[in-house]
Amino acid sequence: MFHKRAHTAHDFELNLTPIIDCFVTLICFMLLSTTYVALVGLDAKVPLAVPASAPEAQRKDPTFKLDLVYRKNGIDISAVGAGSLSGKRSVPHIAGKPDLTTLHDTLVKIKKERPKEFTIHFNSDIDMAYADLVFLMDATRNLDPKKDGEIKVTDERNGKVMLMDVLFPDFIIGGLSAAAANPAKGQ
Amino acid sequence: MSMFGKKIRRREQDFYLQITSLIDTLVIILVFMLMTVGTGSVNLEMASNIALPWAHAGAELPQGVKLIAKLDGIYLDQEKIVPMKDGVVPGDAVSEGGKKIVGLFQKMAKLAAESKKAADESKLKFEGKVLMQADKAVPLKTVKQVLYTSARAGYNDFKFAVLKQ
Repeated sequence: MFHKRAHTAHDFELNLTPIIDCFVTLICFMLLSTTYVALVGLDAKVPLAVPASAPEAQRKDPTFKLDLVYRKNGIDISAVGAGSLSGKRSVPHIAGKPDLTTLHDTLVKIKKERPKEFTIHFNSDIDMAYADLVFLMDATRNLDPKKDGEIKVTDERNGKVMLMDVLFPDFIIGGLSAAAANPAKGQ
Repeated sequence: MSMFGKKIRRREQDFYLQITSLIDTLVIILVFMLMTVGTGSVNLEMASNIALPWAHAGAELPQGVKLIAKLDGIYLDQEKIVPMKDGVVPGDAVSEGGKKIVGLFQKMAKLAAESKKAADESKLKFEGKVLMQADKAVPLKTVKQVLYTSARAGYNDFKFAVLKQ
């Protein structure tokens, strides 16, 4: 039953190179074909019953106010205390969709006039999809110094010059009570 | 003699494992994993059956109450609170002239009371943060109702979770 097994010389060769090559190719393919989802957050402020949380800048300088009203045919921008850009202007929709590029460019001009202001008040005259609201928030929030031009501000505390990288990130959604009750009537 | 009639000459060789390529591969995987591991303070899973809108940039998501507004209902921490049809809250589920969603308010007020109590016990401040995931087709009216209801329940700090483009 117990046979003596003759020990043969090592003739076993595991060639791993092609296997590893296959794995490398497979991994590259997986990395390139996989879609990764990154979730980020957009701030939304509600002026409801929170008067103490009014933006700091607004309390310091009540002469500046920037309003955005979404209407059926366009977006109305109303600026107070923005120098030559003060007043009301309308950005008409293009093919029924908001012209976010023109809106963004207009806000960049206002930002250059008042770089230390961060608050924008939003209201809607009609009901709209949530996606349009997010697109508006995106257009009013982000500032690309390379594309939009550099906006520099001096920090009053230490005198350092800083490069602004946000537009109007404090997005206050107004008209909750009236619009929620009957969005068709608006304000 | 083999079955094909050819002699296979086997040479005596030392076993040699080529691990260089293997290590290269592992290093690539390791670097990739390190780069993709989120460093955010909250691990928010994207809700199923929901189409989130996208944005170019945004802030990190903090800890907070997780609200989800799908077309079929409003969910609070994975629990369906209010049923909806096409993203619209039924008329009998709201009060205060259509502004407040009753079922959601009750749940959130209860949650806020518990959180405030826990915060007081641990000498922390109740921040009232809400992380909201809403389907992009949900009407603004519904979003405003949710914001109003949450604010009435004590939650005033909202963050809309969106996809980063």
